[in-house]
Amino acid sequence: MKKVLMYLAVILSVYGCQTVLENVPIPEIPQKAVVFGSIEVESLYHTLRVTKSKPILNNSTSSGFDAITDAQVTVTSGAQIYTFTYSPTIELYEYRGMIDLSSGEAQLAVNTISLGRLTSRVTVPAKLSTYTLMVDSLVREYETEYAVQFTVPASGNAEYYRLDGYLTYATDTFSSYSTNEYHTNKTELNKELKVKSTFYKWDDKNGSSSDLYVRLSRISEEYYKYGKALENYEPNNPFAEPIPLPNNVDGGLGVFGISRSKIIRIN
Amino acid sequence: MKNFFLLVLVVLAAQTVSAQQTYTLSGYVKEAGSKELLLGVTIYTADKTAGTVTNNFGYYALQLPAGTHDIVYNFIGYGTEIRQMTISADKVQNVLLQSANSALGEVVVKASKTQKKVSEQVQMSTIEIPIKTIKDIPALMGEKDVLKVLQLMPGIQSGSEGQSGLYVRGGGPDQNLIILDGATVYNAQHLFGFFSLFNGDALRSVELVKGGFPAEYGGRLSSVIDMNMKDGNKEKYTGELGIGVISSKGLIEGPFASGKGSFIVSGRRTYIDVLTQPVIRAFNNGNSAGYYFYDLNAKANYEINDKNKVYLSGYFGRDKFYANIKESFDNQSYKSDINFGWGNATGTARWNHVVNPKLFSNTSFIYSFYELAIKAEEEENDQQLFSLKYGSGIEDYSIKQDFDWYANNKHKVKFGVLATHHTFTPDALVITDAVFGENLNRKTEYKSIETGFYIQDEWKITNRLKSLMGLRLSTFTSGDKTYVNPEPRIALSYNLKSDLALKASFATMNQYLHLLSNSGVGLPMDLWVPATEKVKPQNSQQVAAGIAKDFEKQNFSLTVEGYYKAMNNIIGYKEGASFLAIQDGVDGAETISWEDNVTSGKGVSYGGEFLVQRKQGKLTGWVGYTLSWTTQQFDELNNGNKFFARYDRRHDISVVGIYELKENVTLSATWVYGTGNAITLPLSTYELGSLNNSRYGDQFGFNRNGTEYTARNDFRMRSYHRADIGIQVSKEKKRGVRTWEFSAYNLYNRKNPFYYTIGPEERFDPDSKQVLKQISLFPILPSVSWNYKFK
Repeated sequence: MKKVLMYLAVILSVYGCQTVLENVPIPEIPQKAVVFGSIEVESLYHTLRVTKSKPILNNSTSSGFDAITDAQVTVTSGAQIYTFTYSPTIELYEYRGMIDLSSGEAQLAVNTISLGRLTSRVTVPAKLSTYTLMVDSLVREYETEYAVQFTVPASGNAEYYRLDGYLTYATDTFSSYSTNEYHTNKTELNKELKVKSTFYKWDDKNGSSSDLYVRLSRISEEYYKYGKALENYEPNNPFAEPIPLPNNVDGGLGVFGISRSKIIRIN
Repeated sequence: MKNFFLLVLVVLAAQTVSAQQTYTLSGYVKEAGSKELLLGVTIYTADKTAGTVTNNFGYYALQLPAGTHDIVYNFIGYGTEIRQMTISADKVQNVLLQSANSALGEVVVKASKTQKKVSEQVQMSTIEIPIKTIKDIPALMGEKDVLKVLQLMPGIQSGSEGQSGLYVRGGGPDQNLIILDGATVYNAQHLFGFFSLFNGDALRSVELVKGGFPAEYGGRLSSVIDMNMKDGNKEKYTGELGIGVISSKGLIEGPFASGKGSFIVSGRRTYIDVLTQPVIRAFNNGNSAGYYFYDLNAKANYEINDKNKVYLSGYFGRDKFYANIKESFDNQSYKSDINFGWGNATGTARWNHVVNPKLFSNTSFIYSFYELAIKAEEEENDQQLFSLKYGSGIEDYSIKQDFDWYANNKHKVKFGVLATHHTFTPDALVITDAVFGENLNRKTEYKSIETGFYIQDEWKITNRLKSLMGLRLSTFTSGDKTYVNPEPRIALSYNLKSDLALKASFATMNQYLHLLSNSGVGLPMDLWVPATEKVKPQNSQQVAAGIAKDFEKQNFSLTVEGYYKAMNNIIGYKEGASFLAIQDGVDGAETISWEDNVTSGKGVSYGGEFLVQRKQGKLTGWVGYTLSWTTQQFDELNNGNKFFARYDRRHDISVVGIYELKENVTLSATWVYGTGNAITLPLSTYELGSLNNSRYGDQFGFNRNGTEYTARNDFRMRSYHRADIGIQVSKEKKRGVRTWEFSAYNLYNRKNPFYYTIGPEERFDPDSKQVLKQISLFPILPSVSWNYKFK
């Protein structure tokens, strides 16, 4: 009898843990078009990705997301309209050439056949005029650590920055992504902003060396919010309140941003 | 404000002088056999022209005209004592009441002032649970739990399965002031909330006030849980032992200084770690890991003379997780130690002084401390590679002066002051990293002063109409900012009949402490922070009205109450912030204050509560029902739209029955039902793209997906219901009474929701479709415990 009770308790413990809920009325949500992309000022190549959202329930996670390949995608700045075309190779909408953003604003329009029209309007961040760069390095056996700090003078306006870095190897064109950080002076408009991060450069045993490039970008506000939100994005904590990600696309989901970058090689 | 207090005192003094010449009968009421002070004993003249009750220290004072009076001392569960006294001057009369159970050799407080007639009490929205009831009700793993018994009363809800956190009338667990012998207990939970700090062994009384707060209490919005420890037996040494499924406990008490003083010490420790250690070591190459918690309550008191008593009491408890890993390979040794602990410590020194028969003074010096500490160390070849120490906590030093002034038989006045110095340490981090040569030493500390001046008058306006009016003036200084807030309180009771009363109350409360929690379940990682200039104090206004009816012949009482509570400046994390990133900006600079990570809003809770309770007889217990709504609104959350609080519960039912089958056999059962918690459900997913001209991955190169949710807390989990049963069988032995208890938690094995998650239908098949899953914690859990109470 004792054994029976013990086995019963063990079975109940396992059985009692997890239940698939069936016939639970779940609110329905319409499928939406999703667009992500950013225009780099003075760049000659720009891409945008347009996909479809899908219901979570009754879909598998491995099936991926359907790209929308037949949308009309344009970016308008001032009187100029720039049309993006879909590239099946890279599964992105691309535009080759410079986009003139001198009007100070860019409007994205994505017309889809089945999921309606998406629009977004973004203000072009001001030019990065003056800054001070300080680099401190610490050499170890197979790596060099660089503490990089940009000091940007106070402008009195809210500004948003992204700092990232790349390693390029002499032996090939491979670039290794290094770090990605977001900063703003929003809470202290009248104080100079220190944008800093630590980068590492690795030299392999065969003597193949790499070059480190850091890129300081002034970015649009929603671009910043999106990057910052992802830093804390932990969607799998069942106890935490959910974290809706920033969205600046009307009629759908996603983020459309603009950046102005300065790339510097660190020796 | 000072003038107002003076005016009230002068008016009351004038009334006292102008009244008929009376004398004061005063003294202490104690339990015969242990001389434990009895709280809430009713004392009245046989003709019912004058009456009072003993205060929190067992003291009473009654004004009587000269002459001979029959004085009745009545406390249910104890024999009624009637003494004829001739009063011709002020008289001190200490009284010993015989416990109804004393024949069994038990020295337990069988009943408390809960069992007074509810229609006679001015105070409404108050719950008093006899310690005996707490010990009779079946509990999870047999661990008796004061807070979980309180959850069985209307208006008080649990957060989720097995949790001991209290959600009172729509308020969060941070809005409850839990005080033990006057000391605030900041985190009253063990094992992430599955057990509370209080198992009742060392407690003399437990009272919860959820509305119409007396002015002597302040500092929280939703409830006050006032617990007093026993003083200890003044007649003889005695004790208790208990062995349960997960813990053992012991208690010893006795007299010293020829009975002028007494002490009590009780302790409890879990032994899950000890029992599981051999298995853990066997399966982990000799490495150890475990968890335990312990509590220690101690109190001593000394009666200097009839007018002066001193008390010293304290609580110390701690939870600890640990893991110690040692590995060796290639002549390299590696060691890693991780400790994760949290705990409370409180200390109270009290001096009771009878200034004169009408004026009772209680002076308290109070210490309270709560901390969470995480420590991690790594060593390689006995050289430290990395160490991390993280801590957060709060430390209080308080001084409190209370007076009970028995002005006359119509006015019982309480006034006093409390001053507390808080030190908040929401974040202290020390990192030593020998590999990268990086060190970090960061500490965030806030100091603040909180004070509360109060005066309240329990006024018997007419034979039918009584009031409890009061005013509390609270202040809080943090940095350069000082808040001053008057808090008016009023409670009225009108007796339509001797056993039927209409009641109403209004109370304003301010709370100067915030608990930063993004779990909502009261974890030890939640952070206490002060109100500041930027993050304002929370405040609430609550009105309540109801009826109270006693059915004396049937030993039933019935209370029905409705309430409406508005809460302002309640706080929540901004979307995207969490406690781990308290100093990291969500929408600000690289490193910002926690103040920028929170947002404030408002909340409303309203509803009705129904309680029918049987207090005496072979079958005791209650049926409680709550119908309530709780909503919140934050400008920065849920697009500014109002939403249901996570713990909004439309229906909440509890049924409790305790049946004395025989003198030595007690059966008990509970059944609870609650509407499911409101949660935010993910509905749709989408690809998170890059903004860097890249096809794959998000901004950080990860292939993560975004989620679209329902509106905040717009989806309900399944309802919760559960039945528990227990049986206690006692037998008198040579040296005491032995009790076996058998109980079953979740008798019919209901799979109650703990949380919801979405995952593949087939657990290990990534191509399987995603389904909604409910995670449940406890199936049917039988338990057994053995207790021995020495004579």
